[in-house]
Amino acid sequence: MVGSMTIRQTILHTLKDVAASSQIILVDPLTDETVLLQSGLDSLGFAILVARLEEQLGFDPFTMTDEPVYPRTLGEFITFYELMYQRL
Amino acid sequence: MSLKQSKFVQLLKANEDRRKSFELAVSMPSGRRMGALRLIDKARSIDPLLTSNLTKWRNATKQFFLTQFNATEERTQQWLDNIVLPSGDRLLFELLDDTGGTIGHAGVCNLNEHSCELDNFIRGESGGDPGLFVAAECTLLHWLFCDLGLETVSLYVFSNNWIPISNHISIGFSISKKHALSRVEKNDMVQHLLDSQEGDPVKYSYLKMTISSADFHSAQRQQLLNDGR
Repeated sequence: MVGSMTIRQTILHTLKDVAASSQIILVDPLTDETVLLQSGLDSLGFAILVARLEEQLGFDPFTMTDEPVYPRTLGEFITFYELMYQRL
Repeated sequence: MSLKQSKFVQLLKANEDRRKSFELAVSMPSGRRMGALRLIDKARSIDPLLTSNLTKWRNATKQFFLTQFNATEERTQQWLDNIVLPSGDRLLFELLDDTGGTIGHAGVCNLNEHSCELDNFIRGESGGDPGLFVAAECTLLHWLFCDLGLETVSLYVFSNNWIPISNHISIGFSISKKHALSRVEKNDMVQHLLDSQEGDPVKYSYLKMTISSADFHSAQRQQLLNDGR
C-alpha cells in the first residue's frame, strides 16, 4: 500500500501520469492482458515509469532478483510488483 | 574480420559529406517509413549537438553499463575520434524518427565474418512510433544477416534491464549465457566484474543473448503471420 492506494492503483495512476507528461496516448482499454510493448508507452517511458515507481513505492523489483524477469503484459508487470512488495 | 569487410566499414565511416552519410531506412511491415538508422561517420562526428546528446544519454543510462562514470562532451568526442571512427569492426548509428529528429543510437561491435555484437542501444528521447526501437533493431539485424552475411548476432544486457530484454526476446533472441556480477567503486567510477570473487556481489546478472540468422528469419515470418491475422 502507498498511502490509501494499492500497488495496482499506484502503478496504473503512475503509468497514466507518465504517458500524459510525455504526451503519449495509451491504448484504450488498458487491461491486464495489454501487451506492454503495444501499450503506447515507449522504452524510455517504461524506464521513467520504473524510476517514478521506485520513488513512490521505495523499491525497484527488477534489482531484487537474480533471475531475469521480463513481464509481457500489464497484468504480469503488476503481479511482479505485488510479489516483490511482499518480500520487502 | 576479413580485410574486405574491414575496408568496407572504414570506407562507410570515412565519408565527409553530411548529405552522403550511410542510412538504413526503418519501416513498418506496411512500408510506411518510421525513421532511419544513420551512420555516425567523419562528417557527423563533428556535430556538437551529437556529442552533447551522446553524453547526456550515456549519463542518463549509466546504471546499465559495466563501467559507470560521469561522461563529459570532451570524453565522448575522444571516444568517437579514437575508438568509434578508426575501428574496422565497430559501427555506431543515430536513430532518427519520422521527422528526422535524433532520438537515440544503436551500435555494432566485434564485427567479423561470422558474427558481431549489438551494443549501445539507447533511446534518449521520446518521439516517433513506440515500436521504432524494435523496428530499428530488426532493420539492423536484417542488414547484418542478409547484406553482410553474418551467421549469429549477440548482445549483453543487465538482467534488471527488462525493457530491452523484452524487446530482444520479441525479435527472437534467447539467453545463451549468464554471468554473475560484482561491483567495485574506485575514483568516482563503478566497475562491474564478471564471475569474480572480488568486489561486492550484486543481485542482478549479466546476460548474453544470441540470435542466429535462421532464428531471426523464422521470428520475422511468424511476426508477419501474426500481423496478417
